Amino acid sequence: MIKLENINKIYNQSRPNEFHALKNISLHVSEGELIILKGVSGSGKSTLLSIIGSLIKPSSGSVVIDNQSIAKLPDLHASVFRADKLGFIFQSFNLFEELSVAENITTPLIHKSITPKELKDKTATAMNTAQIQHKANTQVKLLSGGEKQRCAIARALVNSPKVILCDEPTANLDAKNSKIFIKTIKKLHDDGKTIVIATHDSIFDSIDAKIINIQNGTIV
Amino acid sequence: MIFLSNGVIVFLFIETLLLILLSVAFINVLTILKSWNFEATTTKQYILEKRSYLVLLIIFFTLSFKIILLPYFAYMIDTLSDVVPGAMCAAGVINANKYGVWLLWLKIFILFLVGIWIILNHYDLKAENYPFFKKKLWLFILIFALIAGESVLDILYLKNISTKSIVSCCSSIYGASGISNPIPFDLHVNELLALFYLLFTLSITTAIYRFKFFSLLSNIAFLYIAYYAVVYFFGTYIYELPTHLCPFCMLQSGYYYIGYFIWGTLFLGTFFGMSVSIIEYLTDIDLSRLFRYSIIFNTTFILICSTYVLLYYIKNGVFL
Amino acid sequence: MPNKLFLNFLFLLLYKHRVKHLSIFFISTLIVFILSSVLLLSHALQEDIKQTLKSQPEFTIQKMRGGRSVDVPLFWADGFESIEGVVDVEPRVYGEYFYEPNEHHFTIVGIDFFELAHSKKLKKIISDIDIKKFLSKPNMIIGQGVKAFLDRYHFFDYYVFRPPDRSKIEVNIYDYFPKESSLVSNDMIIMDIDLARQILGVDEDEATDFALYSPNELEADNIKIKLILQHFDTRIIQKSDIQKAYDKLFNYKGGIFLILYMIVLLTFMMILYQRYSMIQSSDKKEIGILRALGWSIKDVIVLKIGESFIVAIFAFLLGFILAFIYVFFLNAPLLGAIFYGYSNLPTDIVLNKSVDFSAVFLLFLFYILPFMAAVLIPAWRSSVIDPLEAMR
Ligand SMILES: Nc1ncnc2c1ncn2[C@@H]1O[C@H](COP(=O)(O)OP(=O)(O)OP(=O)(O)O)[C@@H](O)[C@H]1O
Ligand SMILES: [Mg+2]
Repeated sequence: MIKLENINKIYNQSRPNEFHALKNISLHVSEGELIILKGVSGSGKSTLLSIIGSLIKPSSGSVVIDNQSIAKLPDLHASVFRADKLGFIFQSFNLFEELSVAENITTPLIHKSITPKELKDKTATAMNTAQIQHKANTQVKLLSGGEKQRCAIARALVNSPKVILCDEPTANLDAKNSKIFIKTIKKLHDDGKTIVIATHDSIFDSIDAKIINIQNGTIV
Repeated sequence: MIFLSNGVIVFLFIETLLLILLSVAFINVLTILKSWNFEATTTKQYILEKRSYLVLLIIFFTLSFKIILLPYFAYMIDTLSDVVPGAMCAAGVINANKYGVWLLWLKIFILFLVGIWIILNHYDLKAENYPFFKKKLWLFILIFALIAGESVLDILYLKNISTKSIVSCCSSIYGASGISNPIPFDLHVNELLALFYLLFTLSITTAIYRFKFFSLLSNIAFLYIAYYAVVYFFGTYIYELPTHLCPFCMLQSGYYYIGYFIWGTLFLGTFFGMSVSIIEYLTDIDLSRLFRYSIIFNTTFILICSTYVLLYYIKNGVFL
Repeated sequence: MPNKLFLNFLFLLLYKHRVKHLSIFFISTLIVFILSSVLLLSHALQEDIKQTLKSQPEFTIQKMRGGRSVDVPLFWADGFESIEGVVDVEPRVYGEYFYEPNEHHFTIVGIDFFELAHSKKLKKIISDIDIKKFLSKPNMIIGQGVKAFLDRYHFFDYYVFRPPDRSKIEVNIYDYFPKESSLVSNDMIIMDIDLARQILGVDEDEATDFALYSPNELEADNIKIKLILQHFDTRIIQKSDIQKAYDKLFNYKGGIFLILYMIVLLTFMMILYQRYSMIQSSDKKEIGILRALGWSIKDVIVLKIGESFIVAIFAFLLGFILAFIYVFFLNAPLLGAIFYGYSNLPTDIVLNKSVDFSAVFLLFLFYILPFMAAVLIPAWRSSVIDPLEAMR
């Protein structure tokens, strides 16, 4: 499902503050696999995740996801790729605070040509899976941390993505909510989603997953 | 006198603004063309790709305004006929000095290139590797050069319109001058008409059977003959006066602005008829589905024209 | 193309950022308001003048001596009547009567009530009065400006004129002009032609000028040539010349205004550019999120431009509506004075609500294009931000 070959990422190339963030990373993830990227702060986890998510482009190497090469995809196509195949979950939730839960969840669907009914169905399904349907019309800024994270999960699921990328998903959650999150991840894993989680939270040790350690931009 | 009316002031202001914007795009195009290499994975290339969005944005913005501005130009010239002595409609004003006619043709030609650019851009963005990127930028440079020339002509033309010396009105510009026949190839009006419908049939046929190159040729011929057919035949039915020969008067409110529709559909119909083979030459993409639009617009054009003749016949029982 | 969901989202964001757009919205509204007021007013005035000119004679003929116009002898009329195409020749008596204490003057127009007047407006006024009663003693009909002026000096029923021969003529105020016609007749007084002769000091066998009527505009040029041939000491004023002079005046006044206005617009563009170039980190974050969620750079640009566009459109509508109210319901205080500066008495006008839609379109182009041109680059700049950096 995810195939990385010899990925390098150099920030600020040929400038004084040049920084080699990823070095020759090769990684294969098959469909339905659950991967945990571990590593200290600054090791390059977020960078790697963003390259998989086509948010940034590698300085060299190839990225193939679901048989589509995305390393050099122009933005117009990369965005379609993200909208169709990816779901993002972030540490700081990254929700629109002033909008309601339902409005937040529909944002990834805005540029897709779907009927209002489809939209409603998809939003409802995603909210059910993430167990946030009871807050559908509440403004996000009024939610608790755990609820915000569930809203973010629903948003990541609303486009029925094949791949879900999580960057430090539990860093802002308490133990109880972290457990709920892990339960949801397990459920998604059982549903056959390919999931990549970047974290250094030891709570993930309890999951049955392939663990990949990153140090200074290389896999060890 | 350059500021002939408030309309002219606004027109020049808008043209200047657009030219400034286009210059910004032009400078960016030059830097992009200089080091564009789609295969490269350097930061520089990605910066250029981002920059290309600015260029596209500006081009898209200005060119859409250009499209609105051509009919507006015609309208403005038409209203100037109140200021220019002797002029009854845009014909007199356009012919007020030697630049007018050239300016008008240049504007139409630019619009034609703009149309091609828009289609080219569409297919370039549709592909995953910017296949026509350089071509479309070069085409833009050509358009930019022409627009710069257009601005110079704009100023020369408007500056040299005199509000004192009397210009001819349309009937003396387009009317038969007695000795020579103004219709090309010395055709009689009936022959002109026959040729007109023949070329229309030809352009439709080539469009249906997708003979791209022949469609180009037949649409060029159709455009040329249709112009004369409208001025020397259909126009007289629009004006309901056999001696009124003018391509511009029909733009006036007295004729319900029908001129904009007539010339607009003719432009669009022949544009799509011609552009297919031009764009295919540039890109190797099969665009025959665009022929559909050629058929639609050319047919609309001919229906509008013929309806006037028919209506006149029904109302009066005779032809002019 | 923006669909309903997108527009919905756009409005949500706009509402959320309303404070940020507020200042721009107010400035734009003000700019549109001023520009549309000027355009609406000048168009309405032009229409008013056009209406008045419609009933004016095709030609006005004055006798000239040494470059100044003097009274014309009445017998000239016979010669003019013989010209083909001329249907009526009307000797007219009118002139300015200066009111001593102030530097103001009235325009006195004498009318021969037995010859049918050609001016539709006059006809309408005359049709309402009893001519016999009107002529039974010195009577006059006065414009609104004259009325206001005389009221100030407590001449409510009559006024005493002092003709050149130093006599006193007391004239009754019979009626007033309706307000709608006030632009042309604001300082006008209408009275019997012989009375006007006395007050203005015009000889009995003379008139101020001749008005020639001809129904066919196409014949005008021919008539003009024949008129020129009849007398060498005449000045011939054609209706179309007056029309053109007025048009030029308005174009000129409007033109100066427009050029001033362009400077304002350019300044406004710079303000816009600066305002929208300030990208706060919260804005950056929003854009980063959207991009991660599958929005392209293009989508974000459309969003940003859409925001500005909606602000611009609403400002335009509001500004235009306000201008409409200002000009047609409040009669354009302050601004009006600039435009009818040529009348010597204060004007109190009710304008006809006529709007020139091509001018509105022009106005829209003139405003929306600089507006959008100024936000293009800021919109692009904020949309190409690195999403990863933006969300950090
Ligand atoms: N735009 C950038 N320019 C320069 N350096 C950068 C940039 N983005 C990231 N880096 C550097 O790259 C390295 C890897 O960053 P990254 O965000 O991938 O780390 P991380 O493993 O996610 O860390 P954390 O656990 O703190 O989130 C860091 O040292 C960071 O300073
Ligand atoms: Mg990180």
